[in-house]
Amino acid sequence: MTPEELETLHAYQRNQLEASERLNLEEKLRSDPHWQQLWGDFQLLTMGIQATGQLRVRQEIQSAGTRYMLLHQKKRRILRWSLGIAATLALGLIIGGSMVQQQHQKLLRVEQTYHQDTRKLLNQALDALEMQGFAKPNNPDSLLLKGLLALENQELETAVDFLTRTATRKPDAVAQFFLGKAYQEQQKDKLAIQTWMKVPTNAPTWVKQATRYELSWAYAKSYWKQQRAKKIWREIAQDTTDPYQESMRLMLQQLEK
Amino acid sequence: MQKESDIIKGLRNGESFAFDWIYQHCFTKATAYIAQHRGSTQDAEDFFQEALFVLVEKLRNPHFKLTSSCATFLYAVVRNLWLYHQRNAGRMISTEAEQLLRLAETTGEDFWHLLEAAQEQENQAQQVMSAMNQLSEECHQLLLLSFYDNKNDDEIAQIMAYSRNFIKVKRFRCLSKLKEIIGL
Repeated sequence: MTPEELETLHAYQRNQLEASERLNLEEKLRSDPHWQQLWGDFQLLTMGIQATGQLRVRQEIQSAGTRYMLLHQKKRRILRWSLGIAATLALGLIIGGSMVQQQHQKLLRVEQTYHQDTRKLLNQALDALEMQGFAKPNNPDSLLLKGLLALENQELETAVDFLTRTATRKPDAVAQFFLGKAYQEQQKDKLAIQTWMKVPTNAPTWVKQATRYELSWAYAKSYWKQQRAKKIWREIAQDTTDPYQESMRLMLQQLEK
Repeated sequence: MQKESDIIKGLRNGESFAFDWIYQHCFTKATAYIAQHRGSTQDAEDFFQEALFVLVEKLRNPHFKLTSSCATFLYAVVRNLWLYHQRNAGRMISTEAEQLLRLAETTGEDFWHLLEAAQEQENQAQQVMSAMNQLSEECHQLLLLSFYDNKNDDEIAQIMAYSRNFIKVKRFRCLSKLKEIIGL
């Protein structure tokens, strides 16, 4: 085959010959064994080349498919792991939440039975102040008294204001304790705990005991600090001077059940 | 963001990024029919590959115009292939043999003779394919560009950085070499 013959056959195959050239070639293909042989070889070669091209495309498709499937599998694996972790976390939260709730409800039931009334403590404080001759109901200058009376009337903002000012002016165990109570009434347990922690060590015994008692209940409300609360309750239960000893002992027995 | 026209161009030129894009954007959509008709993941993979091959073969024809999106085209092909497969499930006769049988019936030629000729042709094509692997990288590329990708000499000259006239000379040499390897 010459280069010219090849170009002619290539152009014929691609339908690029002039009409006269095409007719001329078709005539040769019908009658000339040389051209018949050339055309047969040419067709065979182009068929093989096209099959090679098709194979290349198939390989390319297959490679892309493998890459995609690998990526897909990786994505699915990550998704499966994420779902597993999320499910475990959700289950943990549900179980943990329900445990906390159960514990909390149990404590609330016990609290309803044994918890001290703020009014009782307030009266105790007012009595103590009156006995000391420090505060009288008609003493308008006593910030502490104003704070305690506001607390008694459930004017919590006012109570917090007066008691804070009292405690800031000079360390005052009674003001500190009732400031904590005011915070507790406002549902600000964290602030209440911080305030009670600052009750001075030289406070009157009843204030120390009441603070210990209230602090323990504030701890008890937090699931993670219940051990700390129980520790205080055990201390109270063993303290014969503490007015809450008996109730704490009973309460611990209840909790043990 | 790739434009679909770039992807079609990439598919025509056999570029990997285009095949990857097609898989990422069309596989799930195009194989939805198989998934809905109790086909396995393997079936989906096989039929999608076949449909993508059909698309690439169609795109090689310069007169072919894709009027829908690639995903829609592939979905239609996958669906038809799957329906055809389902219709012929359990039949022992292969598609190629069926075609030959029809040809024998219409032309009056002997079926076994046609089958033998087809097998002979397939063997020869296999021979050329293995000979192609023995050619130099340049010849391999040039012959594929000329006879498979149907590029004209100007396009080939641009791709291979040769002059237009040299392409003709080179093509003749490469084809002669191929003939020599096969023993024609």
